[in-house]
Amino acid sequence: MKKTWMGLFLGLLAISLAACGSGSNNAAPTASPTASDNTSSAQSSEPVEIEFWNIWGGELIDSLVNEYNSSQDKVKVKAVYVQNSYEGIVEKLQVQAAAKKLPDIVSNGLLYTSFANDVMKAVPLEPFIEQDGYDMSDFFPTMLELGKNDQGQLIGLPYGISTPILYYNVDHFKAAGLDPENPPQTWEEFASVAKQLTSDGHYGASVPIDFGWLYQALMETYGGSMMSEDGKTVGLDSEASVKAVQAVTDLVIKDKSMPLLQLQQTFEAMAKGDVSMLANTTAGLGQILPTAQFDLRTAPFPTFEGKRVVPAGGANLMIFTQDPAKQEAAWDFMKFMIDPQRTVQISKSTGYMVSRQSALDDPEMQKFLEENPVYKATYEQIDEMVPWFNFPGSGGTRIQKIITDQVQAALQGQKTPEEAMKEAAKQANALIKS
Amino acid sequence: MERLWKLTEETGKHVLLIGLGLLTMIPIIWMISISLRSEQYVFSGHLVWTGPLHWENYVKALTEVPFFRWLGNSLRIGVIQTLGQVFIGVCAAFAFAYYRFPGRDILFLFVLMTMMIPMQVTLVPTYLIVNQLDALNTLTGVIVPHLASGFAIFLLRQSFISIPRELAEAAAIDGAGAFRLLWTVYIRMSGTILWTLGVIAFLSNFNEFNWPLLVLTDPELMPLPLAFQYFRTETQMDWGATMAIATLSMVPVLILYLVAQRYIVDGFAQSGLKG
Amino acid sequence: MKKPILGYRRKMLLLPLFFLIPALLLYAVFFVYPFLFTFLLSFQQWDMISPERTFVGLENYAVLLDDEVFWKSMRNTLLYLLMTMPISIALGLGLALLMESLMRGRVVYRFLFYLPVVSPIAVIAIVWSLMYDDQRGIVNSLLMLFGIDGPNWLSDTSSSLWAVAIVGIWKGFGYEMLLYVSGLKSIDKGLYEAASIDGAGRWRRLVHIILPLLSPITLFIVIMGIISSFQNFALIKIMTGGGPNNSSNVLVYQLYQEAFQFFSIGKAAAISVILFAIILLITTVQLRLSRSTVHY
Repeated sequence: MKKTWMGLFLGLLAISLAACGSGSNNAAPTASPTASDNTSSAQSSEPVEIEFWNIWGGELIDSLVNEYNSSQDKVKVKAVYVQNSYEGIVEKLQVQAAAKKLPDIVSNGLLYTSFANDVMKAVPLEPFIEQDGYDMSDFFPTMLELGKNDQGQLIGLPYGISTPILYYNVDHFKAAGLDPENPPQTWEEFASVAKQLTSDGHYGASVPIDFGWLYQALMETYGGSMMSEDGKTVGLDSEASVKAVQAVTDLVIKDKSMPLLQLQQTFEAMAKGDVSMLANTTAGLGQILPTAQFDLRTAPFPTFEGKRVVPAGGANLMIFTQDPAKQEAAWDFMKFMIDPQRTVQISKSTGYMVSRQSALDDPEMQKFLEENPVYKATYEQIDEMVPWFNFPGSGGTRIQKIITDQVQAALQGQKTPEEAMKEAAKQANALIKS
Repeated sequence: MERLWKLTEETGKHVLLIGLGLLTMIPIIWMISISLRSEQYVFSGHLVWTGPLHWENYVKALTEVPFFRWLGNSLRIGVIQTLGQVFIGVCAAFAFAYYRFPGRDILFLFVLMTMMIPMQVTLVPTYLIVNQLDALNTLTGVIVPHLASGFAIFLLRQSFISIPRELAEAAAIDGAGAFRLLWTVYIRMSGTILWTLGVIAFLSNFNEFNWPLLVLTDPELMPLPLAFQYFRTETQMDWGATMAIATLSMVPVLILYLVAQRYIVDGFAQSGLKG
Repeated sequence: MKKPILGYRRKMLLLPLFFLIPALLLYAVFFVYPFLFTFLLSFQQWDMISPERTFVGLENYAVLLDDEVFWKSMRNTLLYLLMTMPISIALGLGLALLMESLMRGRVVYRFLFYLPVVSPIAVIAIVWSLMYDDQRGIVNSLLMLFGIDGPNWLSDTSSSLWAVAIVGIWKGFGYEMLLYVSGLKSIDKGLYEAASIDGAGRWRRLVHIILPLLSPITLFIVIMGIISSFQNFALIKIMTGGGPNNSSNVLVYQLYQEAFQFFSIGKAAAISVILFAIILLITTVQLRLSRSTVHY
């Protein structure tokens, strides 16, 4: 008797579940191709469907993907826009990996190259390159380095690379009696110019306070390195690191020439003229230019004692699928995306850099750069570009968080730069050892 | 004299309430006002926008992104999840209110406890279970784990126990079975509270952010609260279009709220939370 | 004569089970099992992906007790509760009293004040983020009218939690108001008039009659308030990401970070267990206290 009741209700529950299941299926006939991985690639007559995760979204990516899909009938790409930038992608990758349902091709943030290699088992690209005899010499060598794992295998191709540059407001320079042809070239100059530019209603300088990437740029420019030479401890508490943090902290606390702004806010503040100079990624041009109602110019990232180190930001295109047919399809799509023509398109709309010489030499690109010289600064420092540092081990993302936390503690005056960076080093070292 | 005094007092209260009401409305006014500005004026610092109206933000929101698909997803999640919660809630509440059985009070306490525990506490294992059921990235995966709602069971049980037992017993003596009892006595007499529950649950399901965030990856399956930030990238934020979509996402909520306001208010008064 | 009684008894056992089964089944799969699993995970080390989970005993808890971020999150979770609850109760009660004494226009006000409650939290969070913009946001622009130079709300360690709490209050007080309105409606008017005939002033009527009669509602509000403030995830995720320097991090957000950003499932599970223990403790104390103070 009891069992009959149970059976009946289980049945009812199953029906109600099935009902909403079919509801969702009707709603999205195209949805979740990942769930049916094996079937789709087995049938050769059907196009291979692959999912492309990216952080850009919007018209440009959609039109590129549509163009690719209509250019051939073997591969069908579905673009999936993931929110919250590269962090958003990594969070989603993590949970998808737990579910064993990885997307096929991904724009993977440069901070997460070793994550992609160690955890996601990103597919090495050399076999595809050899098989097609694809000419890699056209790519900027420093950019190709960004896609290599520790064994030297190429697991990603650079796509949408950026470096930090200096933005400045020419109108403010003129108003303060400064020469706009001579923007600050060193960090000492940056500080003193910032002080002169600071006046009623606006600040002279801005550096985003929540972006570990710029910390790396600064501390390495100041002569530090993220890890000690033996690779056993971090270099966060080195003299150079403390000095770099001190320099920015002074802007905030001593000179009061810099407001505490987060990444997104710095672009907005620059665009509306609330700050006169900004050290941040060149990829911000896409946002600042359309809104800026003043003469905006850019210059290379300032130096310290003649040295400049700029970490690369942006992403690599990587293949995560383990299915050979899908790998082929993903590679084919990748070739389409890194084609000089397409690279130029992306660069023009965002401020990201093109990744190959032929794209830079492209007459369309050259004309564009002549007409919009603000986009040039990042190319002037291409030889000083280094990888965005990936800490060893699984604690990498946590160390990045520790760094931003501690740098912020210093910037907010809760700790001296020295205390803050010592604390950061202490916590980071504990993670590296474990 | 006294009438004059009363009139002044009433006017004073209205002035105060209107002031507070306006203050409360600032975010809504601001949202609409930004949604009509061009990019240059997003940061003009004015609450009300008197310049030219930029309806193209709405055009963007309706054409550049699959707004109606997202709206459809939200509605689907809202309706199915709410119906499920009410159905399961009615059954459980009936058992708790009408029957006496060993372990009843402990079970009810358990239901109350499920209400108190933040969903984040069981987030990871629940995610893994949904994965094992192969329901990730489906609306089923969004809906099913939250079909048993402690709030629904609690609210309905409170309402059911306030129905005089004599009514139920009389019906039972007349030969009514359990289903007839539930239908003719309990459900019939709980019209308002069912509507209240339906409206409140629908609004909260429609607006849910956290769980869909984890389960859904496919933008085509996303409900509005997840998807409306579509105009934000690593370095760019299109505030005008974002606020246009935000305003549009408020519309269904507002309509339902306008229509069903009475149920929310009456329901609160009847839900056994009387003074 | 015996048989039907037995049958009746059996029915009284089976029927409730029958009606409870859908709920119990769902609870078993999506609540009890994950809940127990969380306990288990809190004694293990796992990154969610690798097939092996290693047993580490109490290490996750030890790590947490030694974790500066954890203590900040704990402190902020409680602070957030203290920031939001008294103000929204006061606002809710005050508005309810004010509105119920009106001769007309109640419906309009009720509509306005309850609107934030039904608004989607994700939308609200984005709108407020923009309102809090340092120099051009509407919050500081309005403060400027009163000559106040507002802080850089979301970027300053001393204001970030307040910034989130203000949104929490704004989003929540309408709910409290509505509960109090329904409570006031049910107060016996005779009692009220008798007191005023006795010559009790407004204040005394409020303190000695109305507030005690509303105390079950207040208790309900306090418990619900604790629960919802402990679940404050969306605002933090969208507005501050717990920053700057964890000044607005709370337990549920840290839990999310540990699990989905740092991939330390064990540590996240340990936070879950602690969160559960705190909620259990607070509600038990609440209910104990209420037995002696709430007037029914």
